[in-house]
Amino acid sequence: MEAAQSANIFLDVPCNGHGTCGKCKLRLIQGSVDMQKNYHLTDAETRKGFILACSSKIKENITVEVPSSRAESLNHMKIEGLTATKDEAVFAKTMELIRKKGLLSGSCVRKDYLELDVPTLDNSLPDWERVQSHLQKTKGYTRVFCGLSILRKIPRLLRDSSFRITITHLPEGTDKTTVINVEGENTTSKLYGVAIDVGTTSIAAFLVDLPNGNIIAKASAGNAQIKHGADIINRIVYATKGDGLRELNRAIIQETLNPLLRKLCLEAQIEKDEVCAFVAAGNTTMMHLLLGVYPDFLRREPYIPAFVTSPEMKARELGMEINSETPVYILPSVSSYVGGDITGGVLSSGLWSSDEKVLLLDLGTNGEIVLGNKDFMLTCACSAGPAFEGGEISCGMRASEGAIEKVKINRFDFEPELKTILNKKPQGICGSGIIDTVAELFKAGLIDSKGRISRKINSKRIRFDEYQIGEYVLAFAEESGIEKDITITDIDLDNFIRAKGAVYSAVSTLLNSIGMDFVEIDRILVAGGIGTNIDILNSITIGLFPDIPLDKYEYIGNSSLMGSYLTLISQDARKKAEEIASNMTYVELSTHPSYMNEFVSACFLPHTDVNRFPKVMEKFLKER
Amino acid sequence: MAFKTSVQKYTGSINKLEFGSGENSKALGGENVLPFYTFDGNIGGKPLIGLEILDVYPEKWLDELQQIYGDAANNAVQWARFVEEKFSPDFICLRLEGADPNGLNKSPEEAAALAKEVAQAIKVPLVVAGTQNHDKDTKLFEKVAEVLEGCNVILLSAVEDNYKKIGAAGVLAYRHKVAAESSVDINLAKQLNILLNQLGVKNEDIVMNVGCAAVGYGFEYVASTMDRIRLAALGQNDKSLQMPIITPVSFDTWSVKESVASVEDAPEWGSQVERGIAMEVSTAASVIAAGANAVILRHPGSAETVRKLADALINN
Repeated sequence: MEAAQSANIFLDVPCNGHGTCGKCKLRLIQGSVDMQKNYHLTDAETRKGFILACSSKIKENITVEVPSSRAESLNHMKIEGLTATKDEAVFAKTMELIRKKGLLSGSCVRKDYLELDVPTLDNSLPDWERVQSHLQKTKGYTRVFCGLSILRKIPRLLRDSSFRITITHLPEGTDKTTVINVEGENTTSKLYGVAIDVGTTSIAAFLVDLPNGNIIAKASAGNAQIKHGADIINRIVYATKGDGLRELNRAIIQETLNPLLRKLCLEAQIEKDEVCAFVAAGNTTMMHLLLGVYPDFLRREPYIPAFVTSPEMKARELGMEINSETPVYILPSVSSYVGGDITGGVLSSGLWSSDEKVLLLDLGTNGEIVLGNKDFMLTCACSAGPAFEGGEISCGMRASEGAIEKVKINRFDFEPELKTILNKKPQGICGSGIIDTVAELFKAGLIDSKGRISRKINSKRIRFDEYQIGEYVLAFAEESGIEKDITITDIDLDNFIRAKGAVYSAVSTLLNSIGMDFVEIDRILVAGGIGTNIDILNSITIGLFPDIPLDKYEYIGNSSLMGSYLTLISQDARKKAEEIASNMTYVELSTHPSYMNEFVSACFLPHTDVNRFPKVMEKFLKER
Repeated sequence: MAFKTSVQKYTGSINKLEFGSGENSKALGGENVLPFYTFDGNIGGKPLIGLEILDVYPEKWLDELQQIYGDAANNAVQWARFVEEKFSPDFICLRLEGADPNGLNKSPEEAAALAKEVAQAIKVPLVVAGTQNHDKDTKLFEKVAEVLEGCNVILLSAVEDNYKKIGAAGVLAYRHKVAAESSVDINLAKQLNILLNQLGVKNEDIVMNVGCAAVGYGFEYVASTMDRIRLAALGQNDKSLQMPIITPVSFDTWSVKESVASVEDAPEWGSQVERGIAMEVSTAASVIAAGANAVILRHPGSAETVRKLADALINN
């Protein structure tokens, strides 16, 4: 594994090389290795020469093959907020709201075309002072600043362009501004910015034409930090070891962000120097790692982040391949476990201005929850784990090509009906597919309320291994696009039920803490990577979401990216984001006395207290 | 105006569960008030006290205990008769330790045959306890249930890992009662009851073993769990928690330091057997006060003390 990583070959290693996830399968073509036996490899796979990279010691020169399904999946990852028409509607609605609230004030960066007087013996102002005095005369800026790189650029630029230049600058108030770029001729129409959402699992980005706010390119990529652990805790631990922090920072900037920026610029046919504004939203840990700030205290009691509001930074300080003077802004976080992605979500969803009581659920590797309206906002985080994104599930995968995203199981012959992303042969199962599978297995009576597979049912799709661990086969090897059967096991079900229990119990604890009931919620907004095809009814059936009318639910896609976009195009939105972050009250669940009790009772299908799921039970009883 | 005691009425009540056969059967539960709250309503049957015996010679037990039983302990059938005649417990708990895969690993058939002989030799109802190895217990209880058909014993216990087979064989096929064991958590207790129920086992055929600990070993957790279970069953009329509770107290109290340390090792603590009895009695007294309807004890002296305590509480 170390060899592969040092050669920069991507291996998907959610468990950080502890031999517990079984995702780093390689096929040995030549040579041999010392490998500990691992239950993630079937006998058939072992015979075909598959090994686990993390559990293998190289003892001679070997040749291995990285199975294509794994290596490529990352590049075809389907990222929310990028394609679907559903998202267009969400986008339009958000813009309407922000416009109505008068928050569209223009970006922090401006371009102005200047026609300077040509110096003569009588008009002998130095070049920079000439720019300053012109700006004072024409725009009223009494204090104009610049960096060294500008001074190095202007003598020749001014003369090459006959003293007709365009400056890019960052006005503060009416009398002060800082010039960050100078170009010859009039380039005022070419001013771009980038908004990104840095997720634990994936990154999504918009390239924006700033003068009009149009999104001119979209791109996404997997977070290259994944090779150092699937969840934030594993990443933080990695950051504390040796050069870990630098490697993580490198992985996100050099290996993820810069290629993404290049892709965006290429697609939109612009120069990277023309990108003069940059905003990032992400969870608090991702922001620490993006900035290369030591993150260990985030996970230690009393859970203190190094910062929550954005410092003033330039792109060059972070090593980003855009205009080096570009100011980088990150959305303010609330606490160690509620980050700027949630601030962005609250901003773009309009929760902060709502009269109704809104519950915002962001289901990612971490589940974050905000409850509130224009008068109050409460937030909490729960570690749902990577199950919603296909992690810690034996055949789980992220929502990319070939992932099973919808499942129906026939009540009589127990045969599944699958829908995969892009209708490719199934390679694994992603979050929405797992929700469907669990709900369908439950409805068909194939699993009990604890998620254990029934032994009473005779079907070729159900089988038990030597340790009596049951599994349901979604796709046999011959039906699937990989070497083995795609199954869901008792252990997967158990992991998943704990993830859904964590989310539900967090919501109910949050509500309890202010004496509210589920029925009092007017709207539930679902955001995050699990997204597009999530079946709300199935999610209620398994007790992930509360049993309230379906029309109260709304899927809002990648609300973090949307928040990032808004703060890119509008300074007022940025101020609003800061206000939102400081107005949110964080509820720490780990110290909440009833949380553990809520959690255990939620780890049941649909819930230990069936009275909380009246509709589900009613339907259930009817069907039985 | 005359003083009138206010009475706490509850909407729910605890199921009455009968085990054993014929006129010698015993009933657990039936109350609709908190334990010993005679002033509030019907407290149901008295807490039942059972004595523990093994299917093998109790080599690890204290000398004092071995002396009480003498040769009888060499044979579970004689042992059971001896216990019944001499100490007249409410029931006997036969623990099939010999079937433990980490011990003698007796076959389910052999263990079940012995259990049958014991059941035939005594009049009081029988509780059959397994090895606490879930896999083995599954097979063991399937066999025990089969050969003891008609004896209406309590199978102690079914857990989440094996409830399906034990529930199906033990209750649905051979009509015994099943103890649903969970580890000191109201939700887990409730979940297992629901699972058994979904399997087709009636709530009336389930007794709960909600877990135990010796006093001083996290017992507060046990007490508060039982308390909450009882309040949910009575106050909220929660049907899936209205089963009586059986607590195998001796399984925990005889393995803690206070009971295990010899006089040589801890001279300042005094007599080892007295310490063991003290641990057993204080734990048993606490669980019956918290809601247990039956306790399993090891020392006949403990049984006598706990009986006296319960009687005194009820009669006053």
